[in-house]
Amino acid sequence: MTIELHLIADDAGNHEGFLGIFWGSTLVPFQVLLGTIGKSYFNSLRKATAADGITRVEQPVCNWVVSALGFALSMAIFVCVNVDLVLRAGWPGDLAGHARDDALAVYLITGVQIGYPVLYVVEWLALRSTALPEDEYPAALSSGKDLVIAVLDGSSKAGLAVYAAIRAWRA
Amino acid sequence: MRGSNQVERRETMAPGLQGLFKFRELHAATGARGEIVPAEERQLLEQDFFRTSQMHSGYEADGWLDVGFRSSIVRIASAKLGIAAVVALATATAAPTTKLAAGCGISGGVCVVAFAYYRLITHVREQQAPRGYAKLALRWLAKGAAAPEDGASVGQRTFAQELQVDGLRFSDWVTTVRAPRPHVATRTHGHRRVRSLYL
Repeated sequence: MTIELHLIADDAGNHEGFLGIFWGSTLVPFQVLLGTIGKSYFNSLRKATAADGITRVEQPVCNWVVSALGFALSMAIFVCVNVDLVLRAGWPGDLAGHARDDALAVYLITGVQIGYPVLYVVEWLALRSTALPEDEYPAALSSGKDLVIAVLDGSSKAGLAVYAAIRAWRA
Repeated sequence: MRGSNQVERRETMAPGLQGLFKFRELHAATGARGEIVPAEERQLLEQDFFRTSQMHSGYEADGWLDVGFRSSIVRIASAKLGIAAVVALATATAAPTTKLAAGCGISGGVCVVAFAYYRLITHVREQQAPRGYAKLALRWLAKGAAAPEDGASVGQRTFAQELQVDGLRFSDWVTTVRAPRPHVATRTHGHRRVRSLYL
């Protein structure tokens, strides 16, 4: 996706960015890897049940530190990659014709992608606030997450593919 | 003996770590009534794509987890991604420039991968997961825990599904790793030309 967004941005404003297509696309998997450390390895930092089966205890501080560092690095990559894209595309109001459409598409798709980290944070807050044990997942949250991610994926991935096709048709 | 050793290990573990590693011990499949499923029966369930281990009316009791509704959400998303992939890839074959063709191809490829993952997610939500997802399609209990009358709770089953689904979703992003710069070789009047797909 990042590669295609770079190609579109080049056809829009084609301004100078600070990351480029190589680093922009290479960093994205690391963004996901680092950002999901807390969720994947530390069970969203949910409280653990003690040996007595009743007492709930917080996870060790090192788990919090590693998760927070991973998330901060992930957010730094996310911001850098997307700011680089919109800088490269330029402000749509300053452009005309197809270039303006391309810049607008870059803004819209990068904007939609903000939904992923927002959803991740909302999920984390919901899991932290639930009274369920750490090996249970709230049903409502699971359903809501499916719905939101379906909309985000449909808008960003499928939307970008359709826009790429439109760009080819109009040329 | 092995079970008692594990209990001892859990008791000697730091309190904060017990919950952390608890999900790793969720590998005792239970039947519809909560009994431990024998190995041979578990194998049979795996071959039968786990239809007999589907979550039934109790799973849908709170109204949020209607299996058909949840499957429909991901099925619609997968259809949308599949259609977008076909459109983008078909357009790539007739794009006027290699840059536009590369853009369509890359976007179509992303959608193909997402479509494949969404098909797996749909199977998980339908509780008819393929063979490789055998374990989590069954009901689960923490090892050493007493089996409740109706097997694992709805929350535990949902947790198991979320592990599968989030794993698929996150691995989807790995495909954004930039491939080595692809080149297209063409022949014009007998002369071989090599062009980069990234112009």
